[in-house]
Amino acid sequence: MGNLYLVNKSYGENGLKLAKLDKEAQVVLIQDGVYVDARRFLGSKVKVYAVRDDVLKRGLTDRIANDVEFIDYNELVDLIVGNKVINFA
Amino acid sequence: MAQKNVVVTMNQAPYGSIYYTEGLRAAVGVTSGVDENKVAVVYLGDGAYFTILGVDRKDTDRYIGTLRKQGSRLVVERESLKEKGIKEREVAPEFEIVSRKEVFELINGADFVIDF
Amino acid sequence: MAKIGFLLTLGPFQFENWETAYKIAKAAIDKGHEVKMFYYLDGVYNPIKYQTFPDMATLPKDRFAELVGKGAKIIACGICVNARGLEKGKDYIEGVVVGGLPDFAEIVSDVDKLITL
Repeated sequence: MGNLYLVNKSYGENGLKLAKLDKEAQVVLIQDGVYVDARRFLGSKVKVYAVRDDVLKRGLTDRIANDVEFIDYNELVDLIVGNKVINFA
Repeated sequence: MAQKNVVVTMNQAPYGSIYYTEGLRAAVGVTSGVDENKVAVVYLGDGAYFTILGVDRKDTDRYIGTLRKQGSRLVVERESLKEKGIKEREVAPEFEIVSRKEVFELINGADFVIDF
Repeated sequence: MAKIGFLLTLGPFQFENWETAYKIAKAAIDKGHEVKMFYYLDGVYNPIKYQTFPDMATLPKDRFAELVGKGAKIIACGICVNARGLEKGKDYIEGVVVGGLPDFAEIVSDVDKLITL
């Protein structure tokens, strides 16, 4: 069970700065969190996910960093259940 | 049912939104159940502005008093203070100044992390 | 199966949080997990049964009624309810209970996971 950072835009930066110190961090970008620049985690072990619906309706599909994995709510629930949620949403 | 260790992070500045006080009310509330959950309050980002000595704490004093009486930690992240240009000597004495690494350890050791 | 708690602090119509909370909660219940939700601050506006908004096919209160129908337990903060003139939740959809922060404390003790939106 690792730490799952649930990140929206408003408080997201505070959470992402902590995730940087976390070797087993997983980050989920939700709502306006999908506007956050996830490239800072390129080449790190931090796994970044984004809620697919939130990306699609904002027209951001081609703007999100390549190694960000899109997930639906079923997959998000599995991540929530399998990890500890650190809320920054 | 089990006792939980909870960290409440405070991310907004006073007074433009009500979170600075309602977050503290919730932090006290978390400890009010039969399981006597433990809570620590952590000021991050814009939340650090609340720790400035001159902030009017009329409506939050009782929450802070309760939290301190029950041994809950009230901490502000040193890096956030620096980012906001708040000097450590400007911080009110009830807030403990800790590094981001210590904040991470606090969060890492908690069962739940709630954000306000 | 897990018990998942939700703390919802924003109201309907103005922010996306209620919708995200509904979607996660629904997916969780459909997978067999248990959901307990606490409405705090403007979150207490979500279950008012007189909501109308022609632009929206399904209203927030209907989404939460659906969750209640699927077994979600929802409690609203009484101080927040009364502060907003909602008179002990008399205009709430069926199944949403008005309580207080000690109820939230109990949810915190009870659940395995906690989401705040």
